[in-house]
Amino acid sequence: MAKVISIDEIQDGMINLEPIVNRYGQTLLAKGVVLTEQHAMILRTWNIRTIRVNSDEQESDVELNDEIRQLILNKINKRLEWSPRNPIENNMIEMAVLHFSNELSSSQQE
Amino acid sequence: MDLLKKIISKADEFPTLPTIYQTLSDVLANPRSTAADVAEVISEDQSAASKVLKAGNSPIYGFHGRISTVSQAIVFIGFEEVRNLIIAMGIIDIFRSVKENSLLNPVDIWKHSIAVGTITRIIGKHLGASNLENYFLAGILHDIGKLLFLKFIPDEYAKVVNYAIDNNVSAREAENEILGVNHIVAGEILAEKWKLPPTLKDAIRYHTIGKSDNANNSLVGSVHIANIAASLLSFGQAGDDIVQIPNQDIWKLLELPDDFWTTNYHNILVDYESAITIFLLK
Repeated sequence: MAKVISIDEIQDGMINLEPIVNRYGQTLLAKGVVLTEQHAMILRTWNIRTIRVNSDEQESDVELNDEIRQLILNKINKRLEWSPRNPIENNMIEMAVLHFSNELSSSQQE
Repeated sequence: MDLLKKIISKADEFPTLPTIYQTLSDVLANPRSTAADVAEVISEDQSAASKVLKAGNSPIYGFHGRISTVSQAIVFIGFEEVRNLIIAMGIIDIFRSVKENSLLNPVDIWKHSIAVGTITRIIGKHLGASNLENYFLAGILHDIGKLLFLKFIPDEYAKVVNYAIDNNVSAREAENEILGVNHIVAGEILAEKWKLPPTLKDAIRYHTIGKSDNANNSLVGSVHIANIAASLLSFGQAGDDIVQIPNQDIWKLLELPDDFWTTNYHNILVDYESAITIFLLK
């Protein structure tokens, strides 16, 4: 499965799962590249701090299926006194869904 | 209002900022001071020096182990930023001894405040703010009034937290109801005592509504939004369990892109976790 790590944690042999572009839109690293320490150096130069890589950890069953997503949303909505009114508020809630589902999958792996 | 009087009457017992802050402010106010002078002051305080190095090398600043001396930290991350890091550490240390009650642990308030600080800073960075160094500190300080309550009226404050959670209201509403005074007023008293600059006072005063009547709108607005994001993510705990509604005017003011949060989520997580390690572990 995929995980996002700090570029300091890059280890030889990890696989980059997303194309990485610099601020001018030039591709620095293509998807699927096998990473080395040198790649970390390039990313550091461009002030890119995190990278999505493959993970050896066992595939989690908590792929965000609709049911789990709804459970997480219900939990969030209980604490919300309001409903999102615009795209950025929706995106904020989306971040929280992402966060709690990540927490859920890491707690299941333990 | 009796409680407010009680708190004001204890003003003399208020913790003062660490002396290193005053010394640093003096050195920084002198136009002839060099990075070496500032480094000397910081290096005299072992704990401050090591935290400055840790912070400088953390993902928050992105120098990844290239900073090995205090002088380098000053050159790389700047005088003001280093000074604010030291203030943040000093303030966190002052309240470290506050006793916890069964519902609210000061460490959780700090986790919340550190989250607000890191998110505020990430917003400020996106905005290209020129006074970026104040963004983190403003977030750290916004709830300082709550720590004052915990320090001086811990039993009454336990009732506040109880009330907020039972009735599903904000800490501020519960404080008004139970204490007749809220953490914003208490925070302002401390800001006054510490002679904090107007930007930081505004962050304390206006973080719940997100507005201010002067030029610090972006910073205050960023704290307002970061405060909501930090509660939404349940980073730490701030005495209630509700997520406030964002002030719509602030979205217009900040003009963040629609995908700001999902784009920045991993930076928020990485910065938050490293800031927790730097500031909360002795």
